[in-house]
Amino acid sequence: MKKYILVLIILTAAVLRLYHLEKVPPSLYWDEISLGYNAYSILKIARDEHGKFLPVTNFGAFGDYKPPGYIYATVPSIAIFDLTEFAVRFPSAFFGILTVLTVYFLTKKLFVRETIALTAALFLAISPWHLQFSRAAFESNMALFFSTAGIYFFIKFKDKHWYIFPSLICFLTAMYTFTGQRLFVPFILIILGLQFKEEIIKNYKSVLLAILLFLVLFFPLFKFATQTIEGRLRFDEVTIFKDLKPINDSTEERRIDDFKPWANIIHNRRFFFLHEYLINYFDAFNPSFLFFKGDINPRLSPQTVGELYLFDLFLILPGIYFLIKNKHKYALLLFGWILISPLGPATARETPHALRMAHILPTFQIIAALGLASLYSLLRFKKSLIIFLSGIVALSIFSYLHFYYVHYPLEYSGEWQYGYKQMVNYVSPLYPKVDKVFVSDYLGRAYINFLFYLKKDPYEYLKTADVSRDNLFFYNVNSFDKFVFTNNMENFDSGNSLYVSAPGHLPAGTIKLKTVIDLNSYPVFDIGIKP
Amino acid sequence: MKIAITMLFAIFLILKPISTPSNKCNINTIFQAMPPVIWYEQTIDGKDQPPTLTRFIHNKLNIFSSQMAKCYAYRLDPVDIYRSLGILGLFFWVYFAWAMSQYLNKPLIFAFLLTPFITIFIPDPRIMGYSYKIFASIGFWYFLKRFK
Repeated sequence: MKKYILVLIILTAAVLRLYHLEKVPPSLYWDEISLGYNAYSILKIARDEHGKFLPVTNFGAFGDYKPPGYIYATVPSIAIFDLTEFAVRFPSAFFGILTVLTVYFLTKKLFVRETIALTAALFLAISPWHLQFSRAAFESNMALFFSTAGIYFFIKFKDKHWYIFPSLICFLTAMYTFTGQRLFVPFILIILGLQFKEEIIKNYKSVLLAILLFLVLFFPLFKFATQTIEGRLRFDEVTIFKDLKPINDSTEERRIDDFKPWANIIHNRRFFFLHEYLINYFDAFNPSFLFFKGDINPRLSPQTVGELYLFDLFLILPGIYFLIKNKHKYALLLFGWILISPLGPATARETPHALRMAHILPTFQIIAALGLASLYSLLRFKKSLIIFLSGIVALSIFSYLHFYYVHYPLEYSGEWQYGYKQMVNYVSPLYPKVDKVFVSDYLGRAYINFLFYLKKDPYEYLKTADVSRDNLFFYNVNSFDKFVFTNNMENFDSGNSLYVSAPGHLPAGTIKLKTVIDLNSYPVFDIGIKP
Repeated sequence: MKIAITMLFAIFLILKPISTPSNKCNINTIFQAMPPVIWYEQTIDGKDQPPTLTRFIHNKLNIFSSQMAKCYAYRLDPVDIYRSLGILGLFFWVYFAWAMSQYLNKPLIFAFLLTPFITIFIPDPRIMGYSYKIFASIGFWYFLKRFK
């Protein structure tokens, strides 16, 4: 019977993740398109969009140096489903479903009881946080599967010492898939090390061998992330530790105190940075973020529901209580997992950040499942509890799905750069008849949309592309084939050309053919022709 | 001795200035928010959706309770608590919550849970800052009680 329940949960997870995957979210965001086209390029010519042969540590892409994991995982998907929206998002959905299964096994290992494991898997299957990331090409979602699997295998290491190898391989894959994992894996390994110190000492030979293997395989990534400007670029761009404000505040306070020696200690800039860091850290546990509004970025949350359901709160609190009260042997692991998860994301400016903190995900569901099981065993009216809770859960899911499928695409199509595909589809039949196509880059990275939706042969693209690199190491594609990407269209006065501009910005003398609008009826592009 | 230390800690906390909360919602802002939210959400549902479904999901009671719950949650924002109490104060505030679940002191549990709710009806949200300080001081007292 319980096996059938698990199958049902996995089926629910699959339906929630795969239904209308190509339509909701309403469009591919530029990062998703970049992942997809680079995977297509690997499939066709074994090189990325910049012609680099099978990159190991990073894909140059826009100059954001994407980790390679998701791109390689998308290659078979594109081979099967062609270069489509579904193919690009499928790996994320697939690993999302696998994560639900992994959480079942992990929770069973932690708490032994089948019902807790099934409940935790169900809670993750319907989690708004996990669904949001499973339904778009988010590297962090795939990495979440590997980090969760890594933790699961590490716990299995207690039974058979060779499980340390798949565990460390999983953690390594997570780090090669999402940059945020590079600040999570070392900390979770410390927590796991503390939790299983006796087993580690007992099997130190296998552990040492596994660590050696881990370090050898990690070395290229470590070298890239620490020794190259490209590797440090993204971190330097987002970190609070490059902000000048704490330094200015510190200097101001010290100036008021006449730069006395004790003022240098009390108003040390490191305290100001620590204060900023702690604010970012505690922001991760902001109840509004967790239970009501979710991430402020509409691509990371539908805005109408928290990262967790409100009913989760009433199960997580008893879960925490019983975990401590019963002095559960894995309390250290679970609390450690929760507390270290924001350590990395707190170094960045935008907090709380659902994407960078996605590795915290199954902990809340596992603790909520424990909370429910504990309440169930304590309360007298068991049937009433189950009926009441089932009603609340059903209402919550219904409300979430309504907002996700009806409201979300309409309200936030602009956030997903809706309009690019419609524009390319309109330009596509006209493009052979004109000499040039001038495209405004006002929404950014227009070229990748043409490559993707026209399924441009990567080899042909590499032959004709004019690419420059700016002083921030970002790549700019100025032109390829007949396409010219510019924000100064007026400077290019050419006959028999198509123009794609921001609304109302077609050059003088152009005949407007179409205005592309988003799902909220806002204009996105004007398309015109100059005969 | 413990009372004296607790008093010192409480004075230290009370002297610390209260920061303005990041969200200043109260009962007035909740009522102000309701009509535009209902109008906005019902418009998106469109005329093709059955009215019963629209009214079931986007009704006044739903939106009022969701706004109330959000406002309640804003009053328990750990960043605001940290800003008002500092890291040590935040620790004892959390310890207070834990101690309440351990000792099951019903009046204090009610006070702890009701304070954010009551302050929704008070226009100045900084009032919450004083409750953080009081609960953190009691938490400190409970913490000291562990040691003989």
